[in-house]
Amino acid sequence: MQSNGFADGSSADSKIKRMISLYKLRLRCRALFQKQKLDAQMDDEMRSHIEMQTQENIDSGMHPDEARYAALRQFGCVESIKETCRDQRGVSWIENLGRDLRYEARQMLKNPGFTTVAVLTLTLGVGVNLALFAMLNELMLRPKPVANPDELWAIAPATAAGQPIGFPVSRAYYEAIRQHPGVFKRVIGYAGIMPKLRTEEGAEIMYAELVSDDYFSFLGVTLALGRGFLPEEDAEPETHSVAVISHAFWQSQFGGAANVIGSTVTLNGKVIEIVGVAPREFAGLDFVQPVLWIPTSMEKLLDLHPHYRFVGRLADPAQAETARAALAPVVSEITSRGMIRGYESYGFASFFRGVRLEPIGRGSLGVASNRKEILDFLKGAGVATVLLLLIAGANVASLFLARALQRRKEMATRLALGATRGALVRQLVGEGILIAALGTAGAVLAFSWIGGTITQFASWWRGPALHPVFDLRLFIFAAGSLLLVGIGFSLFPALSATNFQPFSSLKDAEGADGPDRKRAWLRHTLIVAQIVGSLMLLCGATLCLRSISKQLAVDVGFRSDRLAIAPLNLERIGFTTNTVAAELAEIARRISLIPGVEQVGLSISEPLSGRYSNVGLGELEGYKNPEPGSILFDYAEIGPDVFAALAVPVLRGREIGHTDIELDRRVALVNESFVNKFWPGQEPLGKRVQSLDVEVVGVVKDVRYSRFVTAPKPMMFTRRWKEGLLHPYLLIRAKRDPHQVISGARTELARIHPKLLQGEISTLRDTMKNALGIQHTALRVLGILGGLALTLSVIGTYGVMAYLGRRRTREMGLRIALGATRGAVMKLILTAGLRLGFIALAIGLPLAIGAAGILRHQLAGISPFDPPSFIVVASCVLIALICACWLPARRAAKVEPLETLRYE
Amino acid sequence: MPKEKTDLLQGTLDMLILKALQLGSMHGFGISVLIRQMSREVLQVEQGSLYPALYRLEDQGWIESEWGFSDNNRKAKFYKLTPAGRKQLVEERSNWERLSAAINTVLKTT
Repeated sequence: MQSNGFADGSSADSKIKRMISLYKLRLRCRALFQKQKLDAQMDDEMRSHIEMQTQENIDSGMHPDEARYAALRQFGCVESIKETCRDQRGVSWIENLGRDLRYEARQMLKNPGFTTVAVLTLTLGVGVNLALFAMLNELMLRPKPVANPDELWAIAPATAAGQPIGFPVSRAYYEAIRQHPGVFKRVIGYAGIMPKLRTEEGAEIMYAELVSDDYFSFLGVTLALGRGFLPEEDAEPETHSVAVISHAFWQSQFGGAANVIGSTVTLNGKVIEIVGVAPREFAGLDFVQPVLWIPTSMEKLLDLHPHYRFVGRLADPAQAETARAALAPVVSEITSRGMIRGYESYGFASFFRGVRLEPIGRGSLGVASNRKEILDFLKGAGVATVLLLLIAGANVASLFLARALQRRKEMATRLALGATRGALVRQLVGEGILIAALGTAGAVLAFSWIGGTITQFASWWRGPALHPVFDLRLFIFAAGSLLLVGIGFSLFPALSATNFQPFSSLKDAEGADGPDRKRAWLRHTLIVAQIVGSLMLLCGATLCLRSISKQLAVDVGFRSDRLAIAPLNLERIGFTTNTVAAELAEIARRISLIPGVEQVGLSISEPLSGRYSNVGLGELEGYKNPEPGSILFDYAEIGPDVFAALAVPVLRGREIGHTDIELDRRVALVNESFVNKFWPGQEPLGKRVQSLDVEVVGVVKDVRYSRFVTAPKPMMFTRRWKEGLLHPYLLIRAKRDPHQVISGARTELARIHPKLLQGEISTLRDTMKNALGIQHTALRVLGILGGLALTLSVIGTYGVMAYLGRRRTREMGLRIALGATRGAVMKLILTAGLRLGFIALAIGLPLAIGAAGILRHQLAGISPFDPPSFIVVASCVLIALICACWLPARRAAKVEPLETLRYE
Repeated sequence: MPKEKTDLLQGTLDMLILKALQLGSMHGFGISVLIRQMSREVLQVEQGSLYPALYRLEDQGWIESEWGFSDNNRKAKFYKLTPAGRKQLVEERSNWERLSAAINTVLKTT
């Protein structure tokens, strides 16, 4: 083989390079895993060298002993040569790391108290952040289980400027966009519908979707069983009746039977054949998950009025603008031809000149209507959880600092013996990372344990239950926060604790090191930071609390504290509008017999839900409309004995009764405001309202029935909607506490039929709280976090104060010996603590007031600068601080001077 | 010639080891003897430098080792050049020649 030069330079070069790297890898692995064997070999090698040298010396005439001695001397210090050789192996850093880790683990085990507190604190801090990120991931980041999710864009009708309009568009619109997709390669459409599914006993309304025939192939979803739709099934309306069912539906209704293909379901009275089953992980593109999918051609067959949405694929997100512009003329042309069902006469065609594109490949939030609300909530919650993490970190940092300071003598000795400051800092930070790792592991465990209950926090959540999944993104987030937190809170204390001249520290007795001022500054900053953080969280919580109590305390016009509401579903147990009347009377009778029940009523609209309807009539008998436009008033559908149950007096006439239902009489009640506005001085009883086809039979006192945040308006209560009686709310007024009758009612309803009750029986106050929606959740979140933050701060302050107290034992002993009273000593320590408290308040209150601005639009009824809230919180924090300092202060004051002076 | 200890730069020691191994595989003791002989007793490599250098060269993939028996039937670890090492030797040699020529030129000018 030639010793220099190669025929073909470059490829031989790279071949050599590859050989070398493989070779190196093999070497390093051997160095790691066969350390002892390699060390033994090194020993042998050195020994054989020395022997050969000895032999050479003997050969040149030396005496054997002298020969060996000369050889050894010439060789040098064997051990240090061996050490240098070992370093050359390229893996010494791994070995050092391993040794450091073992050392750190031993240190942690030696201080179980410190380790436990630190780990638990971090589990908390990292845990809440992990939970929030999991929610965020689920809502916005996790790609949907379709092919190339980032290519999917939702196309929604919008104004020319791109503002979305929430109006339903017709099938003609859908067909036009399908035929002229413009820049999009293809566009599919889907529309949510709520047909009635026939079950064994009755019928249930469920959510399904009308979809284009190429829906599944467009999304790249492989069906678990059967097939998707064929083009001809979507082409001609009313010719085919096929459906693809969801995985969950397959499991619940058909028990996962393999022969489900070919079975049928009945929707709105029409029989439909099942041709396919969707895979488990696919649940539609939108927020609500459909039970099954049917082709759009069946729209008329099922007599539905769907609201179409569209999705297209774009290979490159940069094309979005061009795609949008390309669709605009298509849309504009269709709408000018009057293709917006029902709204042509209102002239909305001029609005619908454009489309709006939004990526929907990731997260389940999609184009949900309360998207902004949810995002705001996440933002706010994010701030709170990060704050808690910072507080937890500061807490652990002070613990760390205190401990590191205790080990100063050890550090000093090691420095004097030759360790580098870098190595010491590396070890201390390593301990920090180890603790952070344990804390994160704890958080991950807790997460997998309680992950599913996160959504229970959000009682206003009207979407599907979130099941946050621990996927790659979460893992990266956890690992990232682990490193950030671990290094963050241990670096500064580590640097601070190893910063000194070794010998002065070795000489030093308790409490006399020089650069104490700088470290004291660090300690104090940490405590102040923690208190500021807790202050902010607690202020936020208190503001929410006050806002909510103010709203809940509003006088709704009736006693809302004794009512329980039970949602019933009579349709799914087989009743129809013809048969339901007698059953309702029977249910009301049986429930009113339960001990503790004062009165029972039935309503179709849920009282105080926050949701309301209003009606605009063209004309109203007995009323001359002075202004142009419709006559507006609020409106609710009720059933028998509602006002008796609510204990609202019926001022004139009577309530709706069960006989009205049985005889299907269209009757109504109006409230005082209605009479005062529309029929002043007239006799309201007996008036007929032609356009609604009802007769007024009673007048009730003004109450806030649907909305409770506004003053009552003119309102009419009727029963016209027969279907509504199949899903009524049972109102139960208890003699005293509603909770007592709830279990009794639940049993009785179950006795009538196990499936009669749909959901939970709640008290009316719970309904009101849910109506307050996001504020209530914000209160819970902030309240819990604030409480935790304050606890952590108290623990942290206590720890540091205790440490300080111990350090100053000698000083205290001296003071007492020199004549100070114990009270004076205590005052000293307390003042030190309180001084920190006041500094924290001075910084924290302005910050909290500023941050309260974030909550501004969530708080109704109070201003964000509500003085009582801040005063209360400030006092709580100060009291907590005093408590934290109390015990250490007492202990410091109780020292016996002689003992401390002896102690060195 | 008087035995003098001459300090060798690390890079040049590597080069010398590679050169020594060009003549065939050798154990550590043999390499130090060979270098001493080839330099006519001028260069005496200390074991404190030799063995770390050998381990370094091995780690970089320019030499490889295996256990064998020396001429006295003693067990010893033998080193030999790899193809990469051969190439490295050529490079280092040309670098060295260029460097020393330049130094000589500078020293020659009065």
